[in-house]
Amino acid sequence: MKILLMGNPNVGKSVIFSRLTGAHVISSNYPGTTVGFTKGRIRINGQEAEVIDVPGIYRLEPISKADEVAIKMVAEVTEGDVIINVVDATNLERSLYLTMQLLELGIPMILALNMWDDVKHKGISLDLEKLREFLQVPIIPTVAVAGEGIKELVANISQAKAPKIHLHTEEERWADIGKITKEAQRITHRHHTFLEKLEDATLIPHTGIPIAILVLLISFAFIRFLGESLIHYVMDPFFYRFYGPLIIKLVKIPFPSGFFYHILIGNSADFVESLGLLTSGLYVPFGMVLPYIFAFYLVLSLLEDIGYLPRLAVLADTIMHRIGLHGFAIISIVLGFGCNVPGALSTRVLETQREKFIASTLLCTSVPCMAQSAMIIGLVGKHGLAYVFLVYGILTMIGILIGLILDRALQGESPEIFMEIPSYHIPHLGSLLKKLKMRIMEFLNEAVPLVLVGILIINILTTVGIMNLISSLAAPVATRVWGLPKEVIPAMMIGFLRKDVAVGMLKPLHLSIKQLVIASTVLAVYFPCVATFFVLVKELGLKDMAKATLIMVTISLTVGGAINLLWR
Amino acid sequence: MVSLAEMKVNTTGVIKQLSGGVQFRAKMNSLNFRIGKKIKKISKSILNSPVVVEMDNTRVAIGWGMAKKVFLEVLNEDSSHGQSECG
Repeated sequence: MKILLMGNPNVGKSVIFSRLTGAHVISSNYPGTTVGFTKGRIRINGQEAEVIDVPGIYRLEPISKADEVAIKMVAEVTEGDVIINVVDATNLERSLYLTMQLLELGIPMILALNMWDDVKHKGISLDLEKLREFLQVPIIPTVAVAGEGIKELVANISQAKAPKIHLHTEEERWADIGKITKEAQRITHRHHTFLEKLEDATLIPHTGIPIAILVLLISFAFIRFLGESLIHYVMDPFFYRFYGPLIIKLVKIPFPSGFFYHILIGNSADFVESLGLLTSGLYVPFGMVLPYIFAFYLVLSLLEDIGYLPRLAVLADTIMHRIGLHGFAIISIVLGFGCNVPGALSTRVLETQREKFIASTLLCTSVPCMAQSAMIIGLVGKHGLAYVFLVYGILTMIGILIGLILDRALQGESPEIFMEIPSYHIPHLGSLLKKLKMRIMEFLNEAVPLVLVGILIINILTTVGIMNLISSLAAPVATRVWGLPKEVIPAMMIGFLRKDVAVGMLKPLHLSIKQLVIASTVLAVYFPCVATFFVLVKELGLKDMAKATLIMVTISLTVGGAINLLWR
Repeated sequence: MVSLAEMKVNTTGVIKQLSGGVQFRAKMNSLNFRIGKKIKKISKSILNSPVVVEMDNTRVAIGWGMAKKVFLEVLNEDSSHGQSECG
């Protein structure tokens, strides 16, 4: 038995999914958080059922790639499957269109009337009995974020009904919906609350833009403050005073020196420079990157759950149009600052291949992930924060330039923004922490093994002399074009695997600040990390990804060369 | 009739015409923008920025180009007070 969670975007399907299955999925307060489908399991009356969190959709005719995923899921429904139709109780009329379409398919349905707590203070009253009478399916009011109504929902899944309804025309559907809402719903006007005034102030350009700038500045300052504080007061003392001396002692018991000692501990007291598996291999991901990952996702999750990001998308729309995108792409970019992989996946909600191509290329060239940023801030920031801003400024300029060029060079136009702006919600602390934990675990699961593999590869390649050979071969590019010593080549190679380790590998080279800026910029631009690369091959197709890669290599050569020439 | 792009801020209008192709109308319909629906303009466009409107208690942002294709009959100049509507 399959249970499909279906409904309009941003009605809380993913929250209900987590509640039903205990599985962890990312949910946020904006349309399009779920772009693929997630499966989980649940036991009902001793029987195991599969629950599928389907991307939100307004109607069964596709507009974006995420819509197609949803429609395909519906087409694959078989005998005995059930739909839990999640409906935003505060937006009944619009939600019912999909409900009608689904009912016409004759799939047994149970309706979760979510955000039930918002109904009252939005001045809406709903007659549940009348609704049940009209739709003839079980209707359960829920407040998914607080877990209310979930038990009743589960208890009633077996009661799902498929009332006999003929296929309607569009007009007939709206006529029926009109009748239902007229009888079952009353909306009364009431005065706007403070939160609603804030909703508009952050959305309307002349107040929204200054607020957006402030929000971004505060976010950046907070992330840096929290990240640095955690490193300075927690991670560094732990690694240098406790863990480091201990692990060196322990390793020295079986391997007082030689090859294994070298691979495990390395040959420097600095845990970034040592390149040992148990020193750099753990210090880079846990000691340097994790604090920033934590700080970034704390801020991002907060902004997501409040519902700020769609407003940012609207405000950025004008600028984004100049570079061939529309406002929603800003959400991909914001996610990309955390990790390029979710950023790349989120481009699925963009409607055209052209937009996806531009957004993905921008993501790879101009949006360093938080792991990379943490290392850049750590390394370049030592020479002054101004140089960090210089690197980001250069990356931003590259992004704008690529966007402007691609917008002109590629055929077609960008579709315009047309999206629902969700109300602000006070974040639910439990959900927020769960999401934060999930993202941190995702980072650790993904990053730590790759960091260790990367460091192992460097050690092996260096020991057998291959690294030296490659460095010599690639030396002309590094020295003549970028003005960098040939020792940066190993870092470039590891950058394919993990950019954070790559930036860290610059540290023992004792580069000048000019070289450090060039190397950081080139490392950010020249190629996406392996995880992002494969996701994009899948999302864009091999051909477009090859084109994007060509752009990245060209940009890294020219921009790196240009900084080298211009900076005297 | 006036287009949504030209309609004044804080005015409410009834959609009379969606002047675009099938795709455009399907897109509009997906968010319940249909002939006969009442919408209130919340913010005007600056440098072709999207227009924000209120419909059925929700806010929707519409790209400038699309807003030019939505034609409405203006109901009143300011509907921010005292009006109660039934769905």
